[in-house]
Amino acid sequence: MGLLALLRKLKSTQEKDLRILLLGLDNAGKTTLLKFLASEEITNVAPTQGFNIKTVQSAGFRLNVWDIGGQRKIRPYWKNYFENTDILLYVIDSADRKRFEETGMELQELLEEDKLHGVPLLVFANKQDLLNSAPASDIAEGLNLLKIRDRPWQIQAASALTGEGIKDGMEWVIKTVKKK
Amino acid sequence: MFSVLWSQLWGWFYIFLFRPFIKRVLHFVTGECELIRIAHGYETGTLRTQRLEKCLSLSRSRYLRGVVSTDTDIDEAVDQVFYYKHLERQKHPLFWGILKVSLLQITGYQQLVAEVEARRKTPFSSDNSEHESDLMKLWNNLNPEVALQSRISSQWTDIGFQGDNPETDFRGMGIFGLDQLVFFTSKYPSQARSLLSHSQHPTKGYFFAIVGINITSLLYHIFKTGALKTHLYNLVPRKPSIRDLHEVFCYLFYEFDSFWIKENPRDIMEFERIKNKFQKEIEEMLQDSTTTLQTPFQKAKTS
Repeated sequence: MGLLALLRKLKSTQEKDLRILLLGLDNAGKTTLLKFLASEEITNVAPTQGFNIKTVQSAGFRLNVWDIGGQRKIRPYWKNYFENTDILLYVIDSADRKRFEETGMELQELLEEDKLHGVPLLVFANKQDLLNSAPASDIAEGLNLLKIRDRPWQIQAASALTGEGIKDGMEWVIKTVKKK
Repeated sequence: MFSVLWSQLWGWFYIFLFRPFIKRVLHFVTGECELIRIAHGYETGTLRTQRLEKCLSLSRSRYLRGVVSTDTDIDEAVDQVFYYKHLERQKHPLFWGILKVSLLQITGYQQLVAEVEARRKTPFSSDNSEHESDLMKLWNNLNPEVALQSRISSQWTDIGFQGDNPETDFRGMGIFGLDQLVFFTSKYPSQARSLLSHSQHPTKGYFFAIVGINITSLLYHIFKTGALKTHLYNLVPRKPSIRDLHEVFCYLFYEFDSFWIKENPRDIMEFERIKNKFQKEIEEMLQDSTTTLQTPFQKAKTS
């Protein structure tokens, strides 16, 4: 084994794998967020059928991000991806006020899942670049986030299109995992 | 680091020393310039057009390099190449025609990229009556006997949209995605309806409209990378049009349906894996310079 390969091996054993689950309604912006994290082109995203997975390196961690399609008919499959999740990222279209109730109910159901018990939750209040988007504080109130006691949680105003807020959100993820 | 430097050095060496040297030797032996040797040495089709494209874009003359991305009149561009190369049209009528067709294909492809981008970047808008009537056309083409109860309706999920309002499903593909679905269902309604019925299978089904938009996305990808040149240059000795791309969409969607069934997926969650495998096969096919992407029913309709 060459020196370089040895060094690489040493480095890779230090990296910790994290399993991040990306959920939310259809058209929330999950795939755009995933592609932003992986530094890929984000202007030509098509609706996800099934799921996408990408691995991103960050601060000594290898983030395995699972992006699962959000349409109603796919949601029953979400539970197949719960196991061993380190962080739940829940994405909301902050401009789609008509569906706040629906997205709130889906999130509530997720928080009651046994397999996701105690898993830290980061809510991305996405699409803040749109003029008619609701502020993150209103969404936190609407979703009753303040009542969550059984896990660390955070809400982050963000725009996967411009990248605003993504870095802050991911820093919270890393900080929370390190505490665990 | 070294390999980058080495490949740059080799590239420079090739373009400025080795290639001109070989060209000069061949010119001396055959008495013809490289463009004419290519034009007469290959059959009509992709290989010839791509060789001419490469030859022109590697030229040391800025003018000849510019010809492949010209938007001026093609006859004029060909005349100017002749002038530059000291050739006479009367002496090389065959080459004149070949060069003209190739330039129509090469510059046409680039113009088509701009045209597709414009459609793709136009978002679906319910304020636009043309968009709305196209959406209705899509419904009627697929369900001629079932009326849509209202514009916002859960019936849209029957043809594979995600929710009550298809508007947001077009996303990154914009109105280009709807154009392609409307083209397919209008021109080949029986094939489209047969795919729709496959898509409604309780366990092995898929979402017709959303798969269609994902197929448009696949097509957009292989079009932008230039892989589709193989097909389009072989298909027609003229400027390719957006309808030619819609025909490719029909081919890809129809073939994907068979591929999906053959793969026998457990459920819809296998979509990305199977789509990526399908895309790889298509890309491999396009590496073969003789490939054209046409189903038998498309061939029957064009001949």
